[in-house]
Amino acid sequence: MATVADKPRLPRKRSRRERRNDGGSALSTYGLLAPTLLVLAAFFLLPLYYIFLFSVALKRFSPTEALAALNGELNGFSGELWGNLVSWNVDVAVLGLDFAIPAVLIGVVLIVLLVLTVAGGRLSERHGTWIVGIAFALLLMPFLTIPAGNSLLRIMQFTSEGIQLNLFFKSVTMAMTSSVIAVIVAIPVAYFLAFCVQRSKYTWLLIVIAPFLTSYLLRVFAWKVILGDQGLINSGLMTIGIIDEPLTFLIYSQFTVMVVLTYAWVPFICLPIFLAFETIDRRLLEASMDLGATRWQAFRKITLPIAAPGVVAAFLFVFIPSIGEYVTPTLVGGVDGTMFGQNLASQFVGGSFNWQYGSAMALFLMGVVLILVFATSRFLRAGGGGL
Amino acid sequence: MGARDSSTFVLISPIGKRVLLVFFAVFLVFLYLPTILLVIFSFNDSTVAAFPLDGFTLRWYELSWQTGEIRQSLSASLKVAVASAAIATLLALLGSYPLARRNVRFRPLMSALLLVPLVVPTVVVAVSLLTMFQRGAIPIGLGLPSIMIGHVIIALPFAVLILLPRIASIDRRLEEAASDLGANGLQTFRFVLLPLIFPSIISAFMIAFVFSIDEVVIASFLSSEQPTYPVYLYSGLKFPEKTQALIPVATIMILISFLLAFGAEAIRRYGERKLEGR
Amino acid sequence: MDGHIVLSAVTKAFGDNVVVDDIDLSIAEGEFFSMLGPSGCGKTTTLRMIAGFEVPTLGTVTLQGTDVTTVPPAKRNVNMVFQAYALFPHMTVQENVEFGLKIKKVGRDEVKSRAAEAIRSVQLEGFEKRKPAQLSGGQQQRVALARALVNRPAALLLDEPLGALDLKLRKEMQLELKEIQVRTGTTFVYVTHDQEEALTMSDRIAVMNNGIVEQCAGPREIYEHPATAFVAGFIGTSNLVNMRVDRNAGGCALMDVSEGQRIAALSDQGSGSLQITVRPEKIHLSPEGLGDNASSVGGRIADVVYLGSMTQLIVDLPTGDRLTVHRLNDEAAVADPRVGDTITLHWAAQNSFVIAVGAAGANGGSATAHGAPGDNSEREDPNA
Repeated sequence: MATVADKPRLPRKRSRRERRNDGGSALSTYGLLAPTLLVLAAFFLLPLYYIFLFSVALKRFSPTEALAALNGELNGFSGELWGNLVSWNVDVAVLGLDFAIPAVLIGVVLIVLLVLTVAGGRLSERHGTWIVGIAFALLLMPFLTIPAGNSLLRIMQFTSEGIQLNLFFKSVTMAMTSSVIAVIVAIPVAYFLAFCVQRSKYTWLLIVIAPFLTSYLLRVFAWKVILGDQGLINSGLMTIGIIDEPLTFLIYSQFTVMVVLTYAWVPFICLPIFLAFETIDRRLLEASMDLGATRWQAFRKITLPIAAPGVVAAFLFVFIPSIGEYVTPTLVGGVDGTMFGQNLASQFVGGSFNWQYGSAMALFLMGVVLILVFATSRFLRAGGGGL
Repeated sequence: MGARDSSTFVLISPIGKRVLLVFFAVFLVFLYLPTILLVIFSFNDSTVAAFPLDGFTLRWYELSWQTGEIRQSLSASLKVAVASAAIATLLALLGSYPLARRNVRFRPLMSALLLVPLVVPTVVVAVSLLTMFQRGAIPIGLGLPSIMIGHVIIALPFAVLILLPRIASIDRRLEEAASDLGANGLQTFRFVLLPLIFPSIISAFMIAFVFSIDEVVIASFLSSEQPTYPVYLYSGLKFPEKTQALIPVATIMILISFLLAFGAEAIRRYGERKLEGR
Repeated sequence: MDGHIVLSAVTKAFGDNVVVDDIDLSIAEGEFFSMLGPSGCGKTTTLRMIAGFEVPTLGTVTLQGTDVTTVPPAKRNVNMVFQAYALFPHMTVQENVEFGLKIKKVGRDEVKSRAAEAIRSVQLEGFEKRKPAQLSGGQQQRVALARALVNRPAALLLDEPLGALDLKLRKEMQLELKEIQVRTGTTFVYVTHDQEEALTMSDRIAVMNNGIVEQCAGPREIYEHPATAFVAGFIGTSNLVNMRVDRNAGGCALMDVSEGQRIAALSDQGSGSLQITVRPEKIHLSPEGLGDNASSVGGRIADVVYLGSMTQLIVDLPTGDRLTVHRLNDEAAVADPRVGDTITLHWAAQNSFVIAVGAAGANGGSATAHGAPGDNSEREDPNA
């Protein structure tokens, strides 16, 4: 248009006045943020910095060098603690049979599977869901526990020279198993609430979630009452006469820890899965059936793919806090059910007392969890929408 | 759960629905059985919580009431929970508002920082605070104030997760309208934003409170002579002879938790209804 | 420029995106001034700069002779009626209306009396205790008006205030808004994308597109004499005709289509090309009373649409252009035109508005006297 051709050009520089005039000066914006950021810096980031210093032996607990030597603490910068913790020589056994697969190979396979889980959807339009699903299943598999006779067997057993790393693998296995079971239990519950309950749906949801808000310790304790040697199950079975003496694996074992972890988190993860189902447009399902799909096909082709991010998020909501568990194994785990978090804690307040080694363990645990969170943040965001 | 509801019929067969109903019922029993057992054992006339039951008694309630340690730990917990919930809610409010409304540099980084304590294992937060309070730059030692600080850090993300979406969901034009009508920043907050997010502030506070009153990991690492209630409970559960006196308190605490949970939900719904003007 | 509200050389950019590009506007006191344009044309941003919610990147905003360019909204004596109203949902109608006065610390009695007066002026007596959610869309609209008017602003800024209402209510509110404006004598600055709304109410309209003001004039002027192709196209139905000028007869450029058929437009051009527009209702099926140099061109009816009070004919011209013709369904309309029929269209030369002068209607540069005659094949087909 002739009318615009001869207008003066606008300087393309960002102007300082280029902002909303809602009284929101930079001063007030950062002034509001400052207290929160300061508190986090002082009481979250700074402490983490301290355990980093401890973990590389730049700080020590013992006031004098002589005491440090006595406590087995290192003096001056050293990566020895980390080397001790993260041993690269890992033996692998599958279903109890030692295959002696090189640990590097296993690591590569696991990383490939993780990448496929996170980014598989982008590889193929048509098969994306399948790729992600299968990769995810394969990723879980090695860490699952299966019952074998009177005991439990890990599908894949990692054995390392490092005692702590072995314990960490065991903790991952226990956390993974309870998370998967919790998700499997929560899906039908959430599905029932979302699709079958018509009236006061949210009240029922609250009834499901409410136990999560009650004392965690007491719920753990209550399971002691159920599973203990004189507990509900053992005394019940003995009264009926099925067994003569208490089933010992019920209490103070890996099994107990996994049961309690599953129980503790199921109510909570019903929420993200429920929300994932609830947000599905019913008309999609009706349309698919109108086009001839059976109920099962509609579930498989529509409900499940749409709800998948919520389900994965639910899994992570259990898995992440469970890896570092400390209270549950202490109360019901016994020797068999010991977890990494307990050993970590004992470096600070318990028998093994070594702050430097404990700090390295803590950072290692945090690192693994944060990598996991970062890799799966897409799912966490999808599932966390309703929280 | 109307039998003649056609929309449900489309999604699930009547048999499938019945199977799910049974599953749901079993699930509820599984969920509530431990709690019910606790209530039963709080009245059981035996020194150990085991079967078979030995008859009805109220002596455990009497004993808990008379145990000074329990009362002291409860009051310690209450102090820590109220203080940490109030501070966490306030900090979350201060942090959420600019993140929801203003142009903040490095916004993703800032919100990540606010939320990350949620995914860092609690035991790591606990030991890192322990090292700093004993050997670091802020050597305030151990005790209730230290526990309170730890709880603020963990409760903050919960409060942010409640407040940030709520603030963001409020039409920005409401604040513009207030400022157009002559209100300054503080007046806009006081008369427009605050009344609208008040129910969320309450629920953020309640969530933070419920978290703190039940938190045991941070509390047990950072407590000195005076334990909080969960720490006392935790040590009690490790020694069976102390356990029985704890069960009545536990029962009452669980009932209070339920009341709080349902109360918070009722408040939230009331708040929403009020907004819709019904 | 002299005026109640003056925007001079105002530009607003968000990053590299120039939303308002160097506009000048002067709004008189007591005027009903509309800014009309498609979404994204910069009209709302302009309004927000007057209100103070946005600060111009360049240029100044003057209100009652004072430069208010960087004055925050709270300190400007203008009030805004927001899109979707932005009523405070937790306050009653009464509290909403009183809000501005209470903030300004007006005395209690005065607050009560002015609020009552404002509520009365928008006919909401009896609804004082209700919450916004308990009101209909039209009632909420009135509350928003009362909440703004009670402050006796120097100007009322309205951002698509009727956008959320259904058609019937919208028509009623248009009249009511105009009536309130006239009664209170308040300056109204009204943003809308609805051309009919703007034409109905405004004293003057600024038609905006891509951040510039295409034309700023009264409704009749805008409709009858659109300044640019955009205005012609945006306001009402308009027919664009690309015209090759063959000769000039007494200040009237003519294109000879065929024997006895021509298109005429008032212009000094004797050659080159013109882009003209003609309103559908100005085209007649008979040449009576149109004067000597009237356009007269045959065409084939491509479509007939019955619209109740009138019939709309779509006619393809031999020039390749397609015209929309409105024909009143009065008694004079005898025979029903049918698709495929050939008819002759007539319109007076002064109803052909020249919106672009140039060679073959391609670019809108200045016309050259020696420009080549337009070539049919290069014409832009408005329906392409």
